[in-house]
Amino acid sequence: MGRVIITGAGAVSPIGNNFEEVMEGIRTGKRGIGRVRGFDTEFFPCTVGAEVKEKSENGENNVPLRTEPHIDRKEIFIERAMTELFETCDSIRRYAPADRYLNLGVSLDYFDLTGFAGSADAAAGNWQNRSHSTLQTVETLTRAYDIHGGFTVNVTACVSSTQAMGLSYRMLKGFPRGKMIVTGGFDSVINHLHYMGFYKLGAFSDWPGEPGEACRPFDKNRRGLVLGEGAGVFLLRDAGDVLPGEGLAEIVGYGSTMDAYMVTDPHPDGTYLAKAALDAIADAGISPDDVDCVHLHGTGTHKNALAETNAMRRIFPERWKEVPVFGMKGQIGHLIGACGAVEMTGVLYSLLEQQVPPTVNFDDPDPDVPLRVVRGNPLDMDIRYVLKVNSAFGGQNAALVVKRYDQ
Amino acid sequence: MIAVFDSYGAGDEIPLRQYLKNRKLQKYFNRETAAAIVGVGKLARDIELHPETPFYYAAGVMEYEDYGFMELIRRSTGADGQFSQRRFVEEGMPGISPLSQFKVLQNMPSSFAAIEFGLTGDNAVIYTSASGLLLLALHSVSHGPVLLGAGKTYKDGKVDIGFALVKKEEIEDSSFLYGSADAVRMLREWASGASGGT
Repeated sequence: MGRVIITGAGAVSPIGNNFEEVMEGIRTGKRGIGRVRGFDTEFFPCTVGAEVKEKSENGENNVPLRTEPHIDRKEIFIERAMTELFETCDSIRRYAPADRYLNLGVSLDYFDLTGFAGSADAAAGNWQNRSHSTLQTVETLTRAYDIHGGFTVNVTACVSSTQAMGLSYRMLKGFPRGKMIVTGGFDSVINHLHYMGFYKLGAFSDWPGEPGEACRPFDKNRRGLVLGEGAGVFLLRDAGDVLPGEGLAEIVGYGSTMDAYMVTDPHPDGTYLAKAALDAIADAGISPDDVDCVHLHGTGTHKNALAETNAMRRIFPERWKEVPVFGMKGQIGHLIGACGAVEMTGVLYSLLEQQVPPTVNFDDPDPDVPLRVVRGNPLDMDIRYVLKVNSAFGGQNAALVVKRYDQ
Repeated sequence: MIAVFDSYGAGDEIPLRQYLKNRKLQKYFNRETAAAIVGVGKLARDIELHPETPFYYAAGVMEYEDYGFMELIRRSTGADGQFSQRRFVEEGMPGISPLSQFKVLQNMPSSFAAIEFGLTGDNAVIYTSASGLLLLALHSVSHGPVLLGAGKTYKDGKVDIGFALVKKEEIEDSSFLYGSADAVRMLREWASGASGGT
């Protein structure tokens, strides 16, 4: 069995347009949530989102990327993240195309609603002509980046990219040396159809204050989730192929479960979220006592915080109130199919900087959520193992254990 | 290997009542989800599915949709024949049921099958790929049988659905590990016995 090392990263998120910028955004507690400007939200009952930013034509910084309606924004994000990964990882050239694999997570296909209405396609009922196939997008990436070993597109909603990374870890562990896998996820549901679709589910934050404060993981006054967008990709390689100085972190455990409870709510006891975490910890060959901190899913909804609290109680029976936890969605929103991938940058931050960052917008502790959520200043500590968990609308849970890289 | 496969034409009734214990769930289902409940139900009729059985599902790229979508478009189109932002927000979206979101998320057939049959084990939902589904099964940490499923809704409204309970040794030499075949095709062949299914 090989050891699976993360040796490179590419990222695009609401708080930074490359991996280093995202790391800096975590360091500084940057807030990526604001009023949606990437598409027209006039008359919308809710206009808050976490969009990818850019420098505008008139030189204004940090302006949400605006795209034409026929453009699938997430295609831009994954292309940029892949470009960064391939430009910064010379080691990729050591792998023949047949030894390169791609496993990505994503959620819904994009649909050009405004272009479709009034079109000949609409008259004929051919909505498929305006739907962007994510499967084709990923196939195109494999050709563009000479990835001929194979690919999968995981569509398990909010755990898509966590599961894609989990599968990649399992594959590489079982492969002989000489293979590499690019894994992660990409997503944007900040568009007419999907934004309103998620709004109608009733999970959006109705925070009356500043948009940057709207997503409040674990806070007593949390009021729901905020959608985000972006992409995160990571290069996984066998430890035997990794040269000195190339390793960022090591994936050592993975687990996935289903609540089999309700599609709308997490299991309130956190039973199967805890089981996914404990499976990942067992897979890593360690005990829960070895886990130094936990990066939770932390959507900012009332029920998520309670379920994760109960899961923590089950994972760490003796020290569930002591283990430092972090949630990133207060900064970047909920990236749905890409949340696990972009939040993996937070895991790498903890391992590389030996810090648990403060959870943005965690201001008032909730007595029903007595977790050790870091706030104010980052917590400096010796961090060897980070547990990362995500949960999906639908009841799927996924957990990874990531270790500080020791050659 | 035990495999089942069903095809339902656009007008065919899916015999959900015979297999769905929790009837309240039905309102969330699209036809692929309903067919998935029936498919897993047929398997579970003959064998006991252990709750921790790994369950991997290949969802088809959606080709058919009729959840009030065209009505949304009609209501969102202005007098000039073009998209109207105001009409979309004030007349289009209020007419769409919140339940529609459950019918477009690709993980719903797997989620509802898990709820109905108590499956809590390792899992994943991927797009279409037979080789991807087999990779998931072969790299599963479980030593027991694995439940594989695949569904697809075609442009004409037809639904194909298949499930198989397989052991790793039954699939490790499968020709479907190589190439780009749809998982639905693999399940169909397994169920017909053409590729070792029973």
